[in-house]
Amino acid sequence: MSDGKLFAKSNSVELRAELEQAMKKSKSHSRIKIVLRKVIANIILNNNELAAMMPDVIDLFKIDDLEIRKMCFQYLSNYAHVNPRDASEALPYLEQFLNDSSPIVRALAIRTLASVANKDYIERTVGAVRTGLGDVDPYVRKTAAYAVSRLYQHDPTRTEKHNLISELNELLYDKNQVVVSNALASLSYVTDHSRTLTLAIDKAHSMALITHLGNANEWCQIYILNSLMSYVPQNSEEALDLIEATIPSLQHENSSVVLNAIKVIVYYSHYVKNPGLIFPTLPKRLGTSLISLLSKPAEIQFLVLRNVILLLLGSKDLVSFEVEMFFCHNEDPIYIKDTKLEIIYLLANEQNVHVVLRELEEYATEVDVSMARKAIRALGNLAVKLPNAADACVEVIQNLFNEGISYIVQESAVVLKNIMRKYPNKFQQETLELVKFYKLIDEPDAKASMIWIIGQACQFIDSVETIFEVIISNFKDDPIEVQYATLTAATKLYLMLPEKGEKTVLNVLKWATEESDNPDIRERGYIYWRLISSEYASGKSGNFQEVTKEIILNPNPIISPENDSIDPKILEELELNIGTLASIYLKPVSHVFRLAKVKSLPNSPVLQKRAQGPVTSDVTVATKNAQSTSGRKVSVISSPVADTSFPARNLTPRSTSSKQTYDSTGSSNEDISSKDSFAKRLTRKATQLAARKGSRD
Amino acid sequence: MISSLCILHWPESDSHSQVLVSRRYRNDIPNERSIVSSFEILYKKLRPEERVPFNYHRGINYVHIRGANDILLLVTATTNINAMSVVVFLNSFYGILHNYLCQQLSSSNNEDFKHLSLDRDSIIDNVNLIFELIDECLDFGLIQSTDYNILREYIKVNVNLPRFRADGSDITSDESDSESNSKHDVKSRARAKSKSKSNSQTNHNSNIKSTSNHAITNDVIDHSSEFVNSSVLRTYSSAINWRQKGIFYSKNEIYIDIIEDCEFYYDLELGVIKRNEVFGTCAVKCYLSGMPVCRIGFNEKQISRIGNGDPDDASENETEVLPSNQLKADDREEEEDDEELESKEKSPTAEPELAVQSKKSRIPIRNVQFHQCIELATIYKNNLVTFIPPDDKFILMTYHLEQQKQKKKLPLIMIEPTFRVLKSTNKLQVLCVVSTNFKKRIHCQNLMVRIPINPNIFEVDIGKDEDCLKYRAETGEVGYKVDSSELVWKIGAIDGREQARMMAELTLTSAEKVNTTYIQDVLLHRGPIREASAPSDDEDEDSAQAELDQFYGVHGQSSSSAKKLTKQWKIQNFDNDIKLKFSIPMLAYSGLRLNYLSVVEDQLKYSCFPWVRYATESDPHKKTGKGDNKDIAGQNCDYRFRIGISSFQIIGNGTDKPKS
Repeated sequence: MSDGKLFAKSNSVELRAELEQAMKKSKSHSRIKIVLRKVIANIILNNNELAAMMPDVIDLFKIDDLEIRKMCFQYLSNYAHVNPRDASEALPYLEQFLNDSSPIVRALAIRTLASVANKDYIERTVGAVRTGLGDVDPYVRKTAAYAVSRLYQHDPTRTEKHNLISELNELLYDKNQVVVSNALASLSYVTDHSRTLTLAIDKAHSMALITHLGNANEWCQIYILNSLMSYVPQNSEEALDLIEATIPSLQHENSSVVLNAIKVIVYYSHYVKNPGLIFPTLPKRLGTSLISLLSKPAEIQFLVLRNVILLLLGSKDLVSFEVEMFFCHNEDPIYIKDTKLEIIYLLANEQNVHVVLRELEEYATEVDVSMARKAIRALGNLAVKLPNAADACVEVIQNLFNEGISYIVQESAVVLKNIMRKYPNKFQQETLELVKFYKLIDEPDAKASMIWIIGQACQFIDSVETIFEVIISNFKDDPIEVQYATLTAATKLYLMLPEKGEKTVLNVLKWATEESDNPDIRERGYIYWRLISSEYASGKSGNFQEVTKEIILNPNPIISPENDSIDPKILEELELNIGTLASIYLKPVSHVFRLAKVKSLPNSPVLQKRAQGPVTSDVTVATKNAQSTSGRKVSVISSPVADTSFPARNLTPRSTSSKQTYDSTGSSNEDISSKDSFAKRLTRKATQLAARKGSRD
Repeated sequence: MISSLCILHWPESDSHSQVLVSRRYRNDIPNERSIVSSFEILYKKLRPEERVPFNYHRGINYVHIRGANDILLLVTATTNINAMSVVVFLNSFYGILHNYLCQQLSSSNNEDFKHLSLDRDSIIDNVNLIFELIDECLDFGLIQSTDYNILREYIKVNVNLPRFRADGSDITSDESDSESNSKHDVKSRARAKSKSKSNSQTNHNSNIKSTSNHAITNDVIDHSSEFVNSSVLRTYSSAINWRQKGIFYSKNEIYIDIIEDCEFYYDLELGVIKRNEVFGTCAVKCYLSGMPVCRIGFNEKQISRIGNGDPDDASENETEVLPSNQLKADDREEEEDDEELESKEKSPTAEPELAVQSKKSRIPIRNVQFHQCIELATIYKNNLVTFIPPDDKFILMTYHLEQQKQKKKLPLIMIEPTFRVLKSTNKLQVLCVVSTNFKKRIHCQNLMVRIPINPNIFEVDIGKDEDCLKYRAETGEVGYKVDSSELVWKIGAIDGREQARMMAELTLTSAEKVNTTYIQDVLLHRGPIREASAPSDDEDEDSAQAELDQFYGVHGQSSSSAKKLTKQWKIQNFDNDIKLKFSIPMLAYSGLRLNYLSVVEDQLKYSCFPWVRYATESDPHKKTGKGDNKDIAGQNCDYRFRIGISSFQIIGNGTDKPKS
């Protein structure tokens, strides 16, 4: 009989009747099994009413049939907490099973006992576990090891009081490696959840564990590898030994073993001075074994790629990759392509930039629009990241937008704005080319960028006022960011080219101050209006709007590729968590998992301090240059996880762009996020200037 | 340490999913219903490109993988779990389910059952079995074991197979093969009856092994009554936990298949190989008694020191006395000689790719991954792969070859297509030349060339007559596939170093707008087509009358759905690449070869029959389900050629000058 037919909600009375029927008839066992399956099906259907059947089910323990017993055990562990009184009736049976001759029955009994959180069960479990830990059969010992952590989950104090933890500890010296590894897994659960206990193993034991590594099953290997992380090497040789012993695992078939082995190696290489000198091939080894995982299913690939990002950010010198390996394949899911783009961006340097550019250009002409956009973003970010390759990047971008395809032009606008901020006055020709396509632009992001570009380069553009007229024609319906950009650009236009811009700026300011419903827009409109029309605007020398120009046409702070910098502390913690969920979110563990312990590299005489490489210097540069950038950086990385916060850090496509776009006044380092204070500060600055001027007079 | 595991059925179109099986391990999460529903909400909120396998929402982490037929495996956790383990586990668990619920069917040696995949019904029908499996694979939310070969011996609950519904009560899931397999149905029904009657395991057990060569596991205490094989417990916790003791075969055989899947991308416009990768799999079928130790050596020294970078420091301290080689050497050497001869002949002219390899140059193998039975530590010592094999089929190792560094090599099979548009007669002529670049003695089988006829460029007139396609081919058959708009040229077998030509002619409705710039635009997926094609479909003609006319093919309407299909294709983005499918036995593209093989069993001391097979393949559709363990190496290995503008010729009184 197929189980499908059993999937119907039934109540206890019916099933009880059926059970009685089944008992009476011949071949009762198979009939009982069918009824029990119905019961199990109802567990899945969340039918709590069946807890009333407890006495009947417990009665079935009399039958000597493993399949029936298994199902009864399952029933018991599901409903015992609902019906604790009746569930106690099962205890004598369980007691009896604990002394059964079959190890399977013994193990099942221990497991069931431990998984029920009722008081009388817990009491009984303590004894059962203790005998179970000393059982002759490894399978029972293994089950007992888990029973300890189960018990710990229900009642930590009792578990510790009865010394079960230390007895579990004994199992670490068991001669059977399956028992050892499962005991390790169980212990690591306990220590993860305990405030006081930590797992610490000594040198001899860690070497013993490594010998187990060779002949344990794949999952056991993982537990063993993980526990190796709790050993703190006291000198470099130890660390080297351990690294060497772990290396064979890099070729394991199970991707998880590979990744965990990498984690262990990365961990130990913190305790070796210049691991690169001692193991010249190590970076390549790690690289190839990570790459080899890219032929696995997409989910695994994704995880690997996230961890590659982590390694690239943190221990760049420990892994070496060829960027070609991360080129996207046609059939990759989008999220893989995304992540690969990030990696391509991170890996790009002056040597391989030509290959990368060719590849990105190909993506940009691809069918998939979102992919094409992302490729262009990546191109733009590369131009910002690699000053020597900027020309080549911009050339590619120019080739792309010259085709006149709407979305490519829009994306190019966003990207080119960033490039202009990084290299002011460098790519005028390209900018002018782009402006020709102004009619194709309709997305807010692109439009705001385009307006900023026009405002910035208005001197060089022919008939800029007509272009501007077209763009601002539906000023009132534009999103607020575009309106901000328009306001600023119009003012700039007026300041640079008073004759051409006068009409435009009047129009825009009029709209902003009289017709806009948004107070921020209105306020900004007023500020510009006052700045322009102020009596002090022309300054002492009487040049046209000199003071206003000083305020508004300040050179922009140069943006820096702030992407590849995470706080080294966080990186360190993440590296200890390679392959875990935190490594995907790339966020400090405590932000996602509130109760998790913070991991850090334990101190040891040979602990190598993380090199103060370019990563940190980047941060400082950024802080000096622009508060806003660094302030945002922190928020990007360490912001508490929002609800659907994934992907949290999308390095390539988004981060350099959107937000900083609109601190477009060029006058200060303000971020758009502080726009309310922006107005105030601007006025303050204006008054200060005026006051200074007045005092000089 | 996961908190719960659920198997869901969630079709794209439905707003809600159905929980098929669920199991919880920890009490730190709300009940399954609310978890699943919050997962649904979370998932639906995400844009398609954000639908990554890992999600976080209000303190709960959701990890999921998708299987075939809208099956979704979902794991939840509240702690920072080892995500990699979980994903790997989910994949292998899916594989186990697939093996249990589908593979056992296919072992009945019936071709039709080979491509079954896991679906909702088969899961629901086997909830009990799945529970057993989950309990064995996971304990307390920690992964225990996912070895199918072991589990198979361990858990022997009967599989409820949808097609074997003995009473014939409802046949909902039998869609496709109800007619064609009526004969088999009878048979299977009979078997199912006998199964339900006896309810014994022996019968079932015999179904699992398809070969004539049955293993007798004489360690099993009591076949009929015990439904758990207790000997497995010992196996499970012993050092060699992938092989149980006491296996006996009357005839000892080991089959080693080296199968290489090619992923290849050639740009015809530039004449450049863009991608040339080989995904190799070494699959072993092993019918050996006792605890045999197998040793395998390859012709490639570097197999053991992949990525080590320095090939020269191979320390050849073969102090260990090795058992004699059981591979017959003569046959192989002859072949090698032949190869060398041949390469000498041709190398000055054509620079054939095999010549490069026979020079004993280093094969750039990377990413070798070994099955857990291989002693990883010893590979480095004497360049031999030593292992105690699991019983029956398994993948010994997989490897990956980048031929990127050898881009100059000729592709195995080369295609030169020409599209000739005759404007005067509204005809499209497709000329195609296939040339093979491997040794003469080797044959390529089942070559299939699929040439796309892009409906954005050419509107093929299919409607009226049957003879819209005329073709002439030196070998094989050509057909036009309306639904995917492509020419399919099937060649049963072709030898190495040969050429075959084909010409096909299609009638077009109009060839007026076809010109070079237009084609160029289409090939580069440029703007106008995408926008123009979508709205041009006049939707308003679907009055009932017209629909009926169309259905019956009267009033000048054709009943063919071709028009609709082409329209559909137009809107979608059409794939412009020529795709190839083929298999070449006896050839390993990488040049990898088995040099040495020995099987030693200390106690039984039998001689065994080794069989070695090589094949190079490309077949994008070979791998259907995730759990299909047969050929895992390369997923979706395409052999593609990108068409460039130079492949198009326009002849006639059009505005464009004919290109030569």
